[in-house]
Amino acid sequence: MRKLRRGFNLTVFIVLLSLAFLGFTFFYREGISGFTHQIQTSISAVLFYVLTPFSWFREGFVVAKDELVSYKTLKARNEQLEKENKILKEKNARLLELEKENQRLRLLLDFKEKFSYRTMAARVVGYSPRQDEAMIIIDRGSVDGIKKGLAVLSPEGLVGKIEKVHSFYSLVRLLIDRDSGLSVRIVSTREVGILIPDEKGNLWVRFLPSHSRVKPGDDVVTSGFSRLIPKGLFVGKVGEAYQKSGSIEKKVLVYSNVDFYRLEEVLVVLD
Amino acid sequence: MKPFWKRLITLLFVICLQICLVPYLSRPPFFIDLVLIYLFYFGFYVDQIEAGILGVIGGFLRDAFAHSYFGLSALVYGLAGFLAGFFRRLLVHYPVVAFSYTVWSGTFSVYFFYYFLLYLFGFRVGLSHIFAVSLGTAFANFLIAALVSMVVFSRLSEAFSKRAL
Repeated sequence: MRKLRRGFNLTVFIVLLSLAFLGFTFFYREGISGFTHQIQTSISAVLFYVLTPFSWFREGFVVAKDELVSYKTLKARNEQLEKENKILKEKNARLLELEKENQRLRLLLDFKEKFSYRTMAARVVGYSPRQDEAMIIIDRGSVDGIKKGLAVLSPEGLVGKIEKVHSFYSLVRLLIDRDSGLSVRIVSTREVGILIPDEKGNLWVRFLPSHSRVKPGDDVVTSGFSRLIPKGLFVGKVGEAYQKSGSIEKKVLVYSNVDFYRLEEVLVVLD
Repeated sequence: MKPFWKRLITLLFVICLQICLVPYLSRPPFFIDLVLIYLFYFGFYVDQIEAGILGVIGGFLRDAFAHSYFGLSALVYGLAGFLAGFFRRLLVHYPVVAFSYTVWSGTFSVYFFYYFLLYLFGFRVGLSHIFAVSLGTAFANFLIAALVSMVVFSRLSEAFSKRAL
């Protein structure tokens, strides 16, 4: 049975092969309207319908391929835009910084114009590397006429005084430094005291008379007793007043408007 | 033994895949011919004569759809399917290598024969083109066949060993 089937298959195969050979020969020799051409067209038409569902599959494949390509393009574009965005952000940050600096310098200029003393603007280039002292470094030195003991101001009030002078830079001891001490006056009562900071950086006016009528909100200015610090420079406002029972001294807390840890430009009073 | 019409449907499916998908996966001269790989597999593993018959039918369909010389692919594919059966005895020891080698040499022979016939009939086909296409397609088919056979034959060997137990 198996042999018979095999023989049948072989016959079919040989017949088909012969048909193929004949088909090819006729196809080659006859014209477009020939018999084999018509068979080819008919089979092609049937096969076209069979292939239609596959064409959807193919379209899906093409779409997926296009998506992949567009994804790659988008990814590259995205990376480029991210780079541009980074550069623009840096530029923007620089512009914002310049704008802020501009505002600060305008404020300083206004203050300088209103101020009757001769002053010199200086840029804060650093803070003292020691943690136990509150000092700043400014970019003006002895070549610019800076001397030890000169007052240093910001538009918000007195900052401190020059502690050490080098040729091209100077160190300023801030009012909140524990070794700082300054003679000040309460504007309303005309009483004089010494401005001394505590460990936390709070400013206190000490050695006021016990009968002093100082009250919160009073202005505190420099007294002018120091040779190089002019009289009447604004220091801050009185916060609270304290007096221990039996003590002959009254001390008051002073609030300064100066942000001592964010100074960037200052004025040095030269007179 | 599977009925022959099932084999025909499988062949039709492979032809559809070949027509729809393969043009997007091939780059000249590296063409992938899935129909040929299927015929080689069939002739190599199932039955030589049936592979020949399927080859003739597949070739006719291919010629019909591609509007190429009607009967030429049928002739070549039929012979290819039939001749693949002669490599069958190699299957015993190294099926993956044997099948890949059959596909490589068979594809090269088939394409070379196909284009050489066209050349003999006076079509304008350069000999360098014939060699390039034959070698490229043989290489592409070899790669596909190696990948497919690694999966197929490993499963077959598992099945054989289970049956032996």
